[in-house]
Amino acid sequence: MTDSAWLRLVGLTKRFGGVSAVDDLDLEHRAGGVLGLIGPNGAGKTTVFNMLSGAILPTSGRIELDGHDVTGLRPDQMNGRGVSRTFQNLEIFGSLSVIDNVLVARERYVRGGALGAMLGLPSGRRAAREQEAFARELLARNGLVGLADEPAASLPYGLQRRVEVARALASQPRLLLLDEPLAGLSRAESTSFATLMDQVTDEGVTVLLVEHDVTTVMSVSDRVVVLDHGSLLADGPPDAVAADPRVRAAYLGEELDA
Amino acid sequence: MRVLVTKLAPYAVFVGVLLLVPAVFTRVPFFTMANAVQMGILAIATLGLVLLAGFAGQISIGQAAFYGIGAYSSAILTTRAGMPPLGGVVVGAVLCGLAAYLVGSFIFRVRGHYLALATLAFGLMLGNIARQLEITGGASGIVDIPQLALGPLIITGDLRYYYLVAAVLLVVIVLARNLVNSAFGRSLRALGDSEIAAASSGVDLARHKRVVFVVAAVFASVAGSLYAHWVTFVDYHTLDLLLSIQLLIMATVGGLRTVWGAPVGAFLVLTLSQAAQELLPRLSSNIGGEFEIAVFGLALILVLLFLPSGVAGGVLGLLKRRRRTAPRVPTDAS
Amino acid sequence: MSDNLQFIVTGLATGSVYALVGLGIVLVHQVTGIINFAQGEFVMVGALTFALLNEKGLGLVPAALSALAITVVVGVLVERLAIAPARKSTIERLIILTIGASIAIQGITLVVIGTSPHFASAFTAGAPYRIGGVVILRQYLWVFAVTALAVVTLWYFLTRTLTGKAMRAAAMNRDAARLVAVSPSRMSLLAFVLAALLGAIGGIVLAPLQAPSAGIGIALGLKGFTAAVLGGLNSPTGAVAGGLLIGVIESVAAGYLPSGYKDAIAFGILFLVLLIRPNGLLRRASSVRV
Repeated sequence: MTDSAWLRLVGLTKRFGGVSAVDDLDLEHRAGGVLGLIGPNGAGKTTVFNMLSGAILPTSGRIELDGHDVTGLRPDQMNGRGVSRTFQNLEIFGSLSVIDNVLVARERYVRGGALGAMLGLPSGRRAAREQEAFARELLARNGLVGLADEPAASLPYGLQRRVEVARALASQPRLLLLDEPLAGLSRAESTSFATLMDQVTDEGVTVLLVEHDVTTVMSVSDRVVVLDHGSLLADGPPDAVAADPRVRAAYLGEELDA
Repeated sequence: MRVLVTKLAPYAVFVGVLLLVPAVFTRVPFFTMANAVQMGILAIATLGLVLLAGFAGQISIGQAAFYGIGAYSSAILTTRAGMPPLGGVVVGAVLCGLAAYLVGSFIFRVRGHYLALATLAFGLMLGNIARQLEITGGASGIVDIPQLALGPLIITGDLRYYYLVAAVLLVVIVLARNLVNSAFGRSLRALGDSEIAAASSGVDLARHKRVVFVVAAVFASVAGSLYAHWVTFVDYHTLDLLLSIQLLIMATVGGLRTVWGAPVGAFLVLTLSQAAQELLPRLSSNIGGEFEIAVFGLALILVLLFLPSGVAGGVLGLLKRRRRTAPRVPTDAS
Repeated sequence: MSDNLQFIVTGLATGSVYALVGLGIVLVHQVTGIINFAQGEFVMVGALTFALLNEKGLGLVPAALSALAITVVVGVLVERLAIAPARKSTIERLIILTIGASIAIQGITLVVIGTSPHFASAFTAGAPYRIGGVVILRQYLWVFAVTALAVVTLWYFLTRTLTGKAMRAAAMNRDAARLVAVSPSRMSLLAFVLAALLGAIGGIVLAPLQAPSAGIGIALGLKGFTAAVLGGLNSPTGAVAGGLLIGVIESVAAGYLPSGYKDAIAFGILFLVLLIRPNGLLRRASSVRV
């Protein structure tokens, strides 16, 4: 297992003031599949998530990706290493069109810089056209056909979620971090989520899923990790984790039927 | 061909307006060509602020600092180092860009209110220092700055100077529009909407902010230089807080999210100020024209509350909506 | 030595006024999340009204009460007409709005009252006290006493009364406060009323020391920001300490440097503190990256 570990957290710790949100967490994961991260409120899921995406710095410990130490990289650098994410409370670019939302994640492929752009140098134009074609195809695959030029802010909530996922996929990530992707979605919208997960993992993307809806996590994940008070509580295949009495105890009072 | 026409149409309209200005301003008693020059100069500086505060969402209440750097550079380089005026403008812009690069490398450690206060403090500090130093002429400033010359042609008179300023304005508008419509510009707007999402999509926030800060500073610097060579005099008032605020007002009134907001804002605010200076003293004998500041404040509040995208932004929005609804039927049929 | 002591005493007097301005800025920022660029204008309105009425022969107390009342009216107008309708705007727009409010107040004052300064008499007449070589104006003692009283009263209000506690709750978490039936809109109004009161108090004690005119608000507001930022922008105690500190630094600097550098130093400190320790001199920096 050690040799094939692709994502590795070593003694990862985050303290806010005196409180440990994540406490000495060790975790290894092979590339591929859906890794579900669950836990009661305040278990430290979001903190792990934010450290992985580079949004906050760990107090101590290490994050390794594909054998490289990526601890302390900024969000854009993590993105460059193949990590992209969505947001629990939608963070779409409201003033941009749908396609522009996706194209932001492709800027690195259109070199030429600000000065070249201002002078209107033609060098970047072909690259820009290529990226636009890429983005249109991506939108089509994510059920956003015909909406490319709409202002993103004008879309209904469910579609905005899709825009976010499309934007995250636009970076062609190797690790996709999904933060509560089902929050606020209808039943019908949630069911298409499983299909999306299959599609994404088929392309070789590893998914880390933080989700409140335990039922869905259990059904789409290949492996489930349970956090409680910032530490690892249980780890294993979904049905084993669901059967674990400690997990049931931690979720006492919360529904857990899988 | 059709694409080219739609692409150039806004510029054609703008050039038309710029050419119309002298015809109107020399005939209407209310305006003078000096007003037009002033509008053009401030529009150039405002345009930088539109990019910085409007598109990238990074507010600056210290933009006059860079305007001042441009003006003083021109003044010092031409009067003390014997450089030709055009050299003063260019070298000033380069120096100002370097200064902005330096400041921009660490000022964006803070955001939002803190950034507003930091830019404010920077501007005030510079203004105070310019008033003290010997090289900037202390409180009395620098006089006898040479007028601008293109080769042997010295540009004298407000009308000629207007054409020069209008040409520069056109150039910076083209540059700004190119930037806004590029991949880089898209990332700027993205980080203006959500920094965390932009960063997570691979946008290097620090670099993008620094670059747009430099662009805004260079525009302000060119404007400041043009001003210095026009009035042939510069003192610490060019770095005044009031100018920083005035630029912010122009950008807001014109429209923060469109490059056309800069010229429209400069025109409207200066017209309003001109009107206030003429009208206020008529209301009461002991009210001087300098009390236009009250009008500025009220205009700003009204625009922000009732026309949040500014005058140019509002008009563009209307045009867009009409274009959207009008040709819908034929396109749907085809 | 006595020179230095003199600078410190003078600095503490102006610093007290900065502290009151800073306190108003912190209060509004805590409750509404807005930096109120019009805070300095509250001081100006208070000071100018007081001085004007005092010149017209009104006694200290009625003149002070009228100044307080008028400033509160201005504060309420600013909040209701400019801030409340735009509460959902972005930070840049809210900043520009309060700047608009600030110059509107200044401009209207110019139109109504004019540019000239007005003079208020000291609260108690008499020769200054001399201790060692240090001259202490009687008005300084008033400044210290009134500032201390205002700070203590505010502290009592915020920590010991129900409304004050509700305000602090609103400051900590606006959504949670709504759940326990604290209206953010009323709290915002209350914050502006208190900020206007603090500003007016600062203006009234300042008026006999520095003849106020319509233009003094900007500089005072800027010193208030410096005070608030030194203290971390969210700490009332920090703002008071910051105000006194900036007053003293300024006064000492003016004693040794050409007077023009006085302001440059204050703003230089503001600039550096913002960039190096944006959470104030007393607090540790947070670790959020974006």
